[in-house]
Amino acid sequence: MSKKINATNLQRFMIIGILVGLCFVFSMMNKEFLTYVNISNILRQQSMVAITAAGATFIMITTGLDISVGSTIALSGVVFAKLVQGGMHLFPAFLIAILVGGMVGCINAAMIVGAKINPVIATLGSMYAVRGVAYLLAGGSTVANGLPVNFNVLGRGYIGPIPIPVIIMILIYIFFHFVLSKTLLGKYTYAIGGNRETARLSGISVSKVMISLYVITGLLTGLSGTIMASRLTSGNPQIGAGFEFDVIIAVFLGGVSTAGGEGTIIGTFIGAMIVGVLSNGLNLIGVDPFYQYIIKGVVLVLAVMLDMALKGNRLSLESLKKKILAKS
Amino acid sequence: MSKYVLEMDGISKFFPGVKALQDVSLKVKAGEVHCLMGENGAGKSTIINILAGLIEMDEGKILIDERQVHINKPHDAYANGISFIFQELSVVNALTVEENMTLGFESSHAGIVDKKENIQRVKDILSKLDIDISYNSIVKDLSVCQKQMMLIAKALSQHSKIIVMDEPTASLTNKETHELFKMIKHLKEEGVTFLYVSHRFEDIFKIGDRITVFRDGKNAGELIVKDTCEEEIIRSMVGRDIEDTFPKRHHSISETVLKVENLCAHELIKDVSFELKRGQVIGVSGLAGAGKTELARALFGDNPITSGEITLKGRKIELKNPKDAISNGIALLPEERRTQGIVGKMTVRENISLVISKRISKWSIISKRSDQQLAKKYIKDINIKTPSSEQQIRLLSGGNQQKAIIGKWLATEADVFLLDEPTRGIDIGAKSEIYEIINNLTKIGKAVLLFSSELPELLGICDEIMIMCNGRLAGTINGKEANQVEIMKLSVGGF
Repeated sequence: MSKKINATNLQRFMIIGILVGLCFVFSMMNKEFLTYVNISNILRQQSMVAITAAGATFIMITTGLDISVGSTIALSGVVFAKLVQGGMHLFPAFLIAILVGGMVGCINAAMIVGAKINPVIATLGSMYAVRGVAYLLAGGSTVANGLPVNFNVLGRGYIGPIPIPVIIMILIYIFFHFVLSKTLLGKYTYAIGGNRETARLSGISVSKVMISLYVITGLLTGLSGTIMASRLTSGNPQIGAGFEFDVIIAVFLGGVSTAGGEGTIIGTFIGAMIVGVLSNGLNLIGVDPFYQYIIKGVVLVLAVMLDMALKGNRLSLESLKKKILAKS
Repeated sequence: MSKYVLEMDGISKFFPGVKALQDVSLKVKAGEVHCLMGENGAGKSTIINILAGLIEMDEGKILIDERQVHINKPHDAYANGISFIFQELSVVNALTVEENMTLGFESSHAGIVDKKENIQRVKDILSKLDIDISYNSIVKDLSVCQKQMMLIAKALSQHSKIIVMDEPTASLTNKETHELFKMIKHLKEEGVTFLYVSHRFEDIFKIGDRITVFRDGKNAGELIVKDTCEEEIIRSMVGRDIEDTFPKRHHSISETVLKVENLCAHELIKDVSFELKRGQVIGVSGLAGAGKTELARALFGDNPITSGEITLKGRKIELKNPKDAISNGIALLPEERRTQGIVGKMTVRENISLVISKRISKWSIISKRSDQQLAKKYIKDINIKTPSSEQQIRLLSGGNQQKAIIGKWLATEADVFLLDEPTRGIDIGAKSEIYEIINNLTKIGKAVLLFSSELPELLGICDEIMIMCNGRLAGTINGKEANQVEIMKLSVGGF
């Protein structure tokens, strides 16, 4: 192997470096940071963002976007709590709540793939509408009364020493890492993001792939919603504001390019952990939450700038040259 | 004797592996319509782009009114009184005529636009030129011709002395062309100079004064329109020997594999019929806009077919999308390698197996072994020069990218190969390798349709050449008997 480090590898090293660096700084500033309890807390807190981000990674590799996920976790959480409150067993209620998330994904896909509406606008619309449905179902307040004691097992339980949401997250990541790197869906996702026209002319059904990706993300968000409801022991229609933002930062930090066609599931996982460590660490050292908003905003823009600096500019110079060549 | 208003002297431009222009001189007299002619890729666009400040020349100098000028960016061209009306008209569709014409040159006081003054300026110039457009029309409602007129008026309002037009009549009706020419003639009398790029002989004879012919990046001579004829122009355009880059072919033409009858497609394909046999290479020639690419797309299910029949291996087929074409054994090497052929960020291996991923996968999981074997096989078979199969394809040279894409289609085991400009923008060495691949395809009984704007290439390897003009087949010539002049004649719809 040559010594040359390409941009993608460099970015990988950099985000791992950022994660390690942040952990180092926070552990120096506060002794509690690097304890088992705190680390497992971070993992559990971030599991929902991470699970949704696994799906969002696929969408964002194709240069799509789903900003409705914050409302979708509220809706699926409310549905979960409401069904259990109504006397349904936990497991079927859990599955139905996940399917509700999948339905939101279907609606997004219908707008984006079917009606060819810009994904930002389409999912901005569903973000508002879905939030409204969540409020209506919950009757305007939190669904908390009459939930059985074991309602919170999914979000707060442990298997051995590991929190259940963390186990779910790890399984999801193993599965989707496999899907993205070894299967047709994964390859087609990269191909569509890398060059949609080439993908189409290679006989790939771009619409089918895109529909699948929005539905998968919806289902994963539905799952996150049930974990969230279980953790809070209630279905809260207000939950999840800013959730989409954490998901998007995680994916961009993880190395998905705004230009599309690249990114990995592992990268997104590290991205999600950076977001988690940042929130947790800043809380521990006592930084005002208002400052945290500013810091997160800056981190998002920096992540995209980093990506552009590493890959964007070089690529555009190359393509410019080729354009001129083709013209002459 | 009128003096030269524009002289481009000893201009050279090199692109990696390609000499786009070699010591070209262009002398334009004041108040004439000077035409630039030449085949695709002869260097017309390059010299225009240099003049426009869009690309930098490597050698040479530009004189305007016998004074040397430096044009490094588009603004320099305007500052020297040169305006450009490209085929892609640079207008802002959502703004009005007045807003477009004053764009960047508004009369204003302290940043506030003086609307009245601007309107007056625009009204004056429009009435002076006798252009029948209202200053407050929205530009998107104008016809192409009206937009061109508006741009000419804009150029003049900015005191341009030289107006460069690139194929202005390409999308105009006869009546509109007539009006445009009337205006050009009128302005000529007022001393405006036109540099007119076109391959339409009709236009040239109606409006041109002198012609500079380009051939292979060189100046192939100057002609005076009233003393020349089409024959002579065509000879200067194509007058080169066919280079000996074409390998010998073994003919083993057998049964018909593709039969197309009365094909009409949504975009620009009118009543096309032909038969393609196994082992045969049929070339499709035609100038820009003649319908070559549209025909290739129609046969690949990517240009809606409105009527006509396609029979493949004796069976009538319907092509609704590229997927249909692929499953019927049709492959398309698209015209634009970078934007349609490759997925730049994917590896050579991933690109090669892109179309057939499904065939080498089980339960949706791609077989790593088959994938790697396939990549290895084609890298070896067609000699793709790459450090490894895991190299991102965008890092290969153009010729090797193209070979990899051919490999991608070979892997589908298609019967009919539609190759759209397979050698565009790649160097001579890779070109002849691609010709070799085409020969090998015919050896194993595949059939090839070669869509190309390079005449030597068509003459060098095709058994038959079909010439398209305005979406129709203007004629078919036997590859051995054909010559460039004959093809050119049919291409321009002449005789």
